[in-house]
Amino acid sequence: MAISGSNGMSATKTNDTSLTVKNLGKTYVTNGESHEIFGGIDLTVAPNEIVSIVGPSGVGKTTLLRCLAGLLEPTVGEVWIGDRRLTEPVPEMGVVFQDYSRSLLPWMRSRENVAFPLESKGIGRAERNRMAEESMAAVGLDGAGHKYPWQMSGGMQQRVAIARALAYQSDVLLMDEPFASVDAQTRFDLEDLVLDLRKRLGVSIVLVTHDIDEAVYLADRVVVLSGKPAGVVDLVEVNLGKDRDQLSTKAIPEFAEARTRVLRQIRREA
Amino acid sequence: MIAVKYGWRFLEQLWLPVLLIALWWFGSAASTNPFIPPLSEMVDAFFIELESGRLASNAFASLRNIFVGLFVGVFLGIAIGTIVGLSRAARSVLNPYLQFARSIPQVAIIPIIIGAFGITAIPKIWAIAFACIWPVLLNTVDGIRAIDPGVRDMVKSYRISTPRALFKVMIPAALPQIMAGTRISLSVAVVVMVVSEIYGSTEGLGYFINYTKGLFQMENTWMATLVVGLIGYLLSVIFLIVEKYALRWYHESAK
Amino acid sequence: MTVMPSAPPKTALVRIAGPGTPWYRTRKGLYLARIAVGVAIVAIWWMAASFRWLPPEILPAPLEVFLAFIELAFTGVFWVNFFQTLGNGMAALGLAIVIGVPLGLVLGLVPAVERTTRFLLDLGRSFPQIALLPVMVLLFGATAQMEIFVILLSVLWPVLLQTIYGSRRMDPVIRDTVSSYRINLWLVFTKVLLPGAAPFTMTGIRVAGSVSILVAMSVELLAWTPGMGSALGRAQIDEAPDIALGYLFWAGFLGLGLNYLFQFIEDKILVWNARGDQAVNS
Repeated sequence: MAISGSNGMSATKTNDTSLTVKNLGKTYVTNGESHEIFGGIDLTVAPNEIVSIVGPSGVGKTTLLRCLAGLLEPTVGEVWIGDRRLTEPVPEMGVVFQDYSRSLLPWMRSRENVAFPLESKGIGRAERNRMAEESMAAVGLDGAGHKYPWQMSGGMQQRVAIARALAYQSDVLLMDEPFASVDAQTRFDLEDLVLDLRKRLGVSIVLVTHDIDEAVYLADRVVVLSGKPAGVVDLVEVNLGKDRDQLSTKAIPEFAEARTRVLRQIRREA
Repeated sequence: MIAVKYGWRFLEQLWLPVLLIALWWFGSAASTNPFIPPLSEMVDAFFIELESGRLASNAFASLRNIFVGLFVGVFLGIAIGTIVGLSRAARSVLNPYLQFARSIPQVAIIPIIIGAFGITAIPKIWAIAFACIWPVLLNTVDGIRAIDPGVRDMVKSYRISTPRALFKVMIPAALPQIMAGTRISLSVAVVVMVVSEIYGSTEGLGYFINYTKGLFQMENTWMATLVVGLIGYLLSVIFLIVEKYALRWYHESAK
Repeated sequence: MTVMPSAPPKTALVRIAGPGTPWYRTRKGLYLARIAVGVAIVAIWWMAASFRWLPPEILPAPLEVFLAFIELAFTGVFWVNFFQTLGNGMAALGLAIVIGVPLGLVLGLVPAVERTTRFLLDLGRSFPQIALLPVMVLLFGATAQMEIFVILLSVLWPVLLQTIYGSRRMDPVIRDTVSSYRINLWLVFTKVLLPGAAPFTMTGIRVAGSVSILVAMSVELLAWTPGMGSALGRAQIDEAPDIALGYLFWAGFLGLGLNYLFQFIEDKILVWNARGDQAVNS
C-alpha cells in the first residue's frame, strides 16, 4: 500500500519538547510480596528523535511505556516532559496502543474516532473534522473517514489510531508494540509511515517493540531492556541517517552490526 | 426470485399458527361450555368494544403505565448501574444487596404499595418502575465492568473529560448489555402491570379482564386476555427492532 | 448475541491481606464495608419510618419488620405457606423440564421445524401468562393444581428455548460423526445431544427456578390459592404491614437461595463446559 498524504499536514510548529526519564522504577506489591519490574531507567528523547525500546517478552516494556504516558505511577524516579514533571497524561503526548481494535470505538466512524479526543480540548466541530481529515490524509487514509473501524483491515485500523494520536497535536508519540498485530507486509508500510511522520511533522517517537529489526530500522537510538528486574543493559546509537528504506537500509553493514549487538545483549541477560 | 424465497419463508412461519387458529375457530364454534365461548364471539366482542371505546381507553391506561414505569425504571437502573459499575469498591461491597433486591418477587411489592397508596395509576407506575430497575441495573453494572481496559486507557491518556467519557464511551460500550436488561425489564413491566390491575384498579386491561369476568361476559374476558397477550408480543417485537437498530454497530462488528 | 443477567456471580476473589492490597479486596475490609452499608440502610429506613416520610402502612419501623421476620419462622402457618409456594414452583419446574428438554432437543435438531414454530415460540415466550389467571380460575377454580399449571405455562419457555438453542448449536462435526457411525437414536439423545445442550439447559432451568417463585406468588396473590403470596396479601388486608414485609423478605431469601442452589448444581454438573453462561434471549 503506497503511502500518500504529503498534502495537508506539515509541521505547524517547531517541536522542542523533550522527554526525560530519571531513575525510573516500578515495583508491584501483591500478597505481601514485592516484585520489582524494572529499575534505574534513565532516558532522554530529544525533539524529533525516534527511540525504540526493545527487550524480551514480559520484561516490562509495556509497564515502562505506561509510566511514560502517565497512565501508571512509578514507584521511584520521575518523568519530565519539556520542563514539567509528568504525573498524569498530558496533551503533548499521544499514545498508540498495541491492540487498536480495543481502543477504537466501534460505534463511531473512523473520522469521529480520530476527532474524539479533540472534543475534550474544546475545539469546535468544523475545526475538529478538518483536523481529523488532515491527520487521516497524513497517514494515507484519505477519504476513509466515513468507514467504521470494523469495516477496515488491521493495518488501516492501526493507521486510524496513529491519526488519532497525530490529530491530538502531540509532540511526542508513544507507541506500544503498534505493529505486532498486523502482517509483515503491512508492518513494513507502517514502519515507513512512522519515519515519514517524523520527517514531515517533526514529532518525537518512543516505540516499544519486541521485533529487533523494527527497533533498529526505525530508531536513532535503541534502548535494550533486559534482566529481572529489568534495566537498561545497552544503549545503541544507530547512525543510519533519517532517510531510510526497507531494502537498502537493511543491506548496510551498520544495520546488521547494530542488530547483532542488540540481540546479543538480550540473549545474554535472558 | 427473491420474492418467491421470502414469500416461501413467510408461509413456512405462518401455516402452523393459521392452522391452529382455524382449528380453534371451528372447534370452539359448537362449544356449550359457558366459560369457553367460540372464537368467533371473541372476535365480535373485540370489534364491539373497539367501537365503544372501552377497549382503547383501557388499553391506553395499561400502556401508559407500562411506558412511564419502564422509562423511569430503566433511567434509574442505568444511572445507578453506571455509578456502581465504575467503582470496583462499590461493586464488591454492594453486590449481595443488589442480588437480594433482584431476588425479591417484584409482584410482592404490589399489595404493599397499593395498600398504602391506593388503586390509582401512580402507585402502579411506581411498582412497575421499581420492578424494572433491577434487570437494567445489574446488566448495566456488568456491562460497564466488562468494558475493555484498552478503552479505559484510551480515555485516560487522551484526557477525555468525565461527562464526555460517560456518555460517549462508557454507556455506548455497555449498551448491548443495557439493551438486554431493558428487554427483560419490558416483560417484567408487562407482568407487573397485569398483576397490579387485576389486584386493584379502576382502569386498564387487567381491570377490564377482572370486571368482565365478574359479569360473566366471558367473550370479553377471553378477548381482553388475548389482547394483553398480543400487546406483550408486539411490544417485544418492537423492542427487538429498536434494539437491532441501536446496536447495529455491535452486530456488524461481531461478524 | 444477547446476554441475560447471570445468576448471582461467585464472590469476588478475596486475598489474604498484605500491604498494598486495596481495602475492598481484603476479607475483613469487605465484610466491614458491607456491614456498614447494611447499617446505613437500616438507619435511613428507621428515619423514614420515624419521620413518616412514607406512610406507616408501607414502611413500618425496621425493628418491627425484623421481629415479624423472625417470628414468622416460629409459626407453623408460615412454613406451610413457604413449602406450599416452593412446592408449587418446583413441581411446575419439574414438569417444565420433563416436557421442555426432550421437546427442545427435537425442535433444535431440524432447522425447518425452527422456522415453523418460531412465531408460536415468540408468542408464547412474550405472552404475560399471568393474564390468563382470571380465565384459569373460572375454568379450574382456585386450586394448587391450577396454580402449578399457570406456573408451568410461564417456566416452560426458558427451559424450552434454552434447550432448543443448545440443541441447535450442536457441533455439526459431531452430528456428522454420529450419523456416519449409525449410532442408535436413543444413544444419540442421551450421550450426545443432551450433554451438548446441557449447559444451555441448565441456564434455562436456573432462570426458570427464579421465575417459578415469582409466578407462584403472583398466582397466590391474585387467586388466593394457599401460599406465601396469599399470606402476604392477607397480612396487607389485616393491616399488618410488618408481617407482609416479613413475607417479602422471606420470599427474597427463597429466590436468592434457589439461585445459589441452581448455580451450585450447574457448576458441579458442568465442570467441563463453561459455555453455558452464553444464553439466548428468553
